[in-house]
Amino acid sequence: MEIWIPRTPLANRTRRSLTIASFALPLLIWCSISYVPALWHPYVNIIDPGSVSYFRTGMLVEESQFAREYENARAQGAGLPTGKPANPVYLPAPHEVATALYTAFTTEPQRRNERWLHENLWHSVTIIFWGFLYSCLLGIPLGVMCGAYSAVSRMNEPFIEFVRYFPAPAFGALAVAILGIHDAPKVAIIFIGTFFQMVLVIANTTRKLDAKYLEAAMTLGASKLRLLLRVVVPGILPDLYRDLRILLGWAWTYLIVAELIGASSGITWFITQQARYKNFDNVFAAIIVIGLIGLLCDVLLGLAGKRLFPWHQASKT
Amino acid sequence: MNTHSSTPMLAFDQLGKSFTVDGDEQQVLTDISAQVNRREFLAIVGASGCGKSTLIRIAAGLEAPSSGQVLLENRPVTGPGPERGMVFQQFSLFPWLTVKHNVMFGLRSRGHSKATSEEIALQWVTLVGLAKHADYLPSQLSGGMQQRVAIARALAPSPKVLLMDEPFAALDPQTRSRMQAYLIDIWRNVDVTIIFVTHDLEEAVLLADRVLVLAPNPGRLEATFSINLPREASGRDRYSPAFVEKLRSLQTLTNESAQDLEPDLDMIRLARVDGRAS
Repeated sequence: MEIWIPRTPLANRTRRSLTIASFALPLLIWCSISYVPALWHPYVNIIDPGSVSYFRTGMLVEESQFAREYENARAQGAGLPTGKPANPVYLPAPHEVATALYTAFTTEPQRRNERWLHENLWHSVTIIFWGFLYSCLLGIPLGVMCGAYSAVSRMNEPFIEFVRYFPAPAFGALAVAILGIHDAPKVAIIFIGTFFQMVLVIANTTRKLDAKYLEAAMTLGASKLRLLLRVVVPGILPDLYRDLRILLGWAWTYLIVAELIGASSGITWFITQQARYKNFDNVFAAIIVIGLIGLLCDVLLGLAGKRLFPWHQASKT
Repeated sequence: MNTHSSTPMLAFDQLGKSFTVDGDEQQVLTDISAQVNRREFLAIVGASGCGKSTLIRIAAGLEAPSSGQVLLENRPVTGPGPERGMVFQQFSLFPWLTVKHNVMFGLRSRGHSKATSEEIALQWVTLVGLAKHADYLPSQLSGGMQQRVAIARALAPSPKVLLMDEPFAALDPQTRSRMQAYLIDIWRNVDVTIIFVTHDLEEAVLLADRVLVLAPNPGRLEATFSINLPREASGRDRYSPAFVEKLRSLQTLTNESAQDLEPDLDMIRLARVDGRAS
């Protein structure tokens, strides 16, 4: 089949249906496991405890245990327990998550010092924004310089290569000690998590710029500064933009670390807390919200990229 | 050869170049001495691996010679400069700039104001017949059009020498012959000296006043070959008996110089036979 020849483009219709399928398929699997009792459902949700002393309505017991108690009760001629097949508590059904998604945004926080979900979410977004912004402000120029000049590269990259293996979470306590307990250490964690990778990735992207553009510019009498600002920078811009899109995803993965240190806050703190209460419907709801925000950001940045870099082949797909 | 006392526009003075590959020193060019006069059209031909691209890159200042020097009007060349424009085989227009801005690049680099640069650039774009495409991006142009822009870009800052490294090799035959006519037309109207590297002997006879024949292993100057054929309004007639005769003698000359390669070919044949036998 032609689709298995590498890089064969797809017809628009096929593309669209496959995009839909990529979301529909996991959802379908989730629905099947949740709503078809024959699939999995290793527990029984007690409806009526009957004569079993330790059963409570709404309790989850393992199927085998339920069967044993049921047989015991029948043998003694006592009241029979009833129940329905259920999945473990950590796998809520789609409708439960959907409800949680709605109620999480509409329910007032239980305690006075707690925040609404949307406030938590907004707080997380600002942490990411500042952390990533500082990372870009320092990382992009340094990365481009490393990629453009071998001397700068030799001077910085070996050390950065070493530092980037430091686990960002390890800096948590240090960041709190230095920067206090509020937002500053969280921003610092996002920065540490993305900056070193950013320098190396951008340096590599810069090195990949085809030398023919530099050579052409030199034979046209371009000064050293012009080579950097009018050839290297515009030449790598579309790829640099793509790198930043990927690195922004990394920033979100460091968010969970950032929000656990100092004064707890944000969407991932919400997740941790809800997991502790075993409100897994809320956990899934929050994870999905993060996914949606990430996806939305990426789609918007992708569209912006097409407008910003009309000459770039890869951004035309 | 120069009976006049006028200095050559560009001269190769006992030029040598060697690379070190895996600890082995490889001589790419050895003892190249040649001159090109003002407004002359010089072609450099030779089998692949004879170092003709290296030679023109040294002239451009993109590579440094291992020995000897390149002289531009008696001053040694130490690096790339706007007095030596270059057109590459690979399409090397800046993909992020429009046709007009590509041509403006060299002018801006030489310190011309934006307005002046734009004016000169538009004249050049018009001269290469792309006035309607001034605001197009390179990716929207055909290969032939891109190379026309590349010629305009190289010539706009008024270089003394235009270096061309197999500029039409990547074009289809029809486009190539149109580009050859274009180039002669431009060269007639502009005060510029052209050094043109090609592996196509017919192209060399068609365009050049004089042809340098390089021989490989190591790259050396085998012969200098004058064309001395009249140019009609539309360039030379490649089917005239005189043209065919010139081409034939140039071919004989290059075949002789490439004879060093023959033993290698035999080795390859033998190796193949052995491979099949085993």
